[in-house]
Amino acid sequence: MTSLYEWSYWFCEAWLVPLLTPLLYFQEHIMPPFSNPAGDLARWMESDPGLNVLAWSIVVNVALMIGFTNVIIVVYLERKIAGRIMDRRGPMLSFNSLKEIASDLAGSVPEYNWKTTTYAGIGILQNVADGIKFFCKEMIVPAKADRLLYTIGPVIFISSSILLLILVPFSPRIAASSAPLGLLVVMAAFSIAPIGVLTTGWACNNKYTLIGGMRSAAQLMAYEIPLLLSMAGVFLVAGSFSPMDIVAQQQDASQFGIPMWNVIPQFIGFIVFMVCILAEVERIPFDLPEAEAELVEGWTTEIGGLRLGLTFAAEYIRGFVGAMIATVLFLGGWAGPFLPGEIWFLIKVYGILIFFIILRWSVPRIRTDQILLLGWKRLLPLSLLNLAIAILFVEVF
Amino acid sequence: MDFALIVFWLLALSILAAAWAVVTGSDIVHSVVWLATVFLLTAGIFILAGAEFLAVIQVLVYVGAVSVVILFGIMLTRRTLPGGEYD
Repeated sequence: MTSLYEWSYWFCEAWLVPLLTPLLYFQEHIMPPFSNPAGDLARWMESDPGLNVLAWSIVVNVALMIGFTNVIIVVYLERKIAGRIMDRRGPMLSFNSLKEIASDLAGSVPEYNWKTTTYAGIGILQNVADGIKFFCKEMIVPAKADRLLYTIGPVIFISSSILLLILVPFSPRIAASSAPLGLLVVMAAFSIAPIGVLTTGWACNNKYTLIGGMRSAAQLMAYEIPLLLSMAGVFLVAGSFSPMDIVAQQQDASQFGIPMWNVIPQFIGFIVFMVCILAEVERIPFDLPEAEAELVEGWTTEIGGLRLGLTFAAEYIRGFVGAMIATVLFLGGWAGPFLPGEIWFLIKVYGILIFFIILRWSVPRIRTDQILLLGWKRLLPLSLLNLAIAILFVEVF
Repeated sequence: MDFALIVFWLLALSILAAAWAVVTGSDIVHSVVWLATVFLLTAGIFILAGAEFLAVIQVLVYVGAVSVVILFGIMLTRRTLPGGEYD
């Protein structure tokens, strides 16, 4: 069982198909003069293409589940760390407090006693409460909105973000896709989102959403070029777009006895990449598209219901995938001593994410007129400098 | 019939339909979204032809940059909002 795909192929061949096909064969002749397509389905499942499709669907589902679980953890961490930075405790809702909530809902106000009345917990149930809230919200289409684009826009954003989850591997074992163009495909999927953002902002027929959408498009356009140029240095050193090859190159490289992950020789590229990925996932120094003090909620103002919840989830997915790409490109991916690769990968990814969260609650938002200046006049020359250093590195060493 | 051939005809007919929608649409923002659809489906044809790199670059450049620039240009020019009043 070397990889997720091989495991799920074995699972389908040994367990799933032998358990499912007898049921289908039984159904095929349930009405004796006629036969129905259930048997054809069973025969297709037993053939090699059928097993392949089943195995891949299991792999994709596992990748999505791992991704969404991590998104929930990131949302939880964001709340908890924000609370700690503001010198409060953050969400405390937990299984301990369900009893008090139940008695509150029943109408009896329990007598407050600081020893026994505990809303205290680690707060993981806050996510469940949020999910229930989003499920209960009504989805309203604004009267003057453009119905077609209002419906399609968030779908483009959400689906292109969820696509990202299956493109970045955790380790050679837990990997849904090992395409040779790996990280370039990730960037292509990243670059679809501005269309969804802009069309949603336009279709809502609201000046706040329109300004939010335009800011988002300007920002994503300006920061994509230095982002790709800073990645180009790493692609050049590794000689490949595949995450497997990039990490393998970093595992092998060492100078003076210390591992030379790309963060050391290409430190400028690392800085440029982190700034650009922050802008690309629209987190706080660069969250102009949804500056809640200026534009009500930016381009998501008019979205309602579970669609809004999924849009927020998609933004966290983009943040998580951004941290994963940074880890693969610059921090050695799953390379590390003693612990298994997946654990090292998660440690590095969560280190970057916690840095993002602390940054979010520590720094002010960048000014609107400075954002394009920073992108075009500072980051673009710096990323070109990094590319020159990478070429020098490849030629000399 | 060959599986790849079926997929090719599906993609080609969708491209033609989307291109028709670009030309005949009454709203210019709808036209740009249909244009982005044309670009995406063209990337599908490239994948079918075995040119994955070209497909990825097609999405990266045409969908990610060209259509967004066109949308951006449309939105920065003066127009009437659907509903009457000036922007």
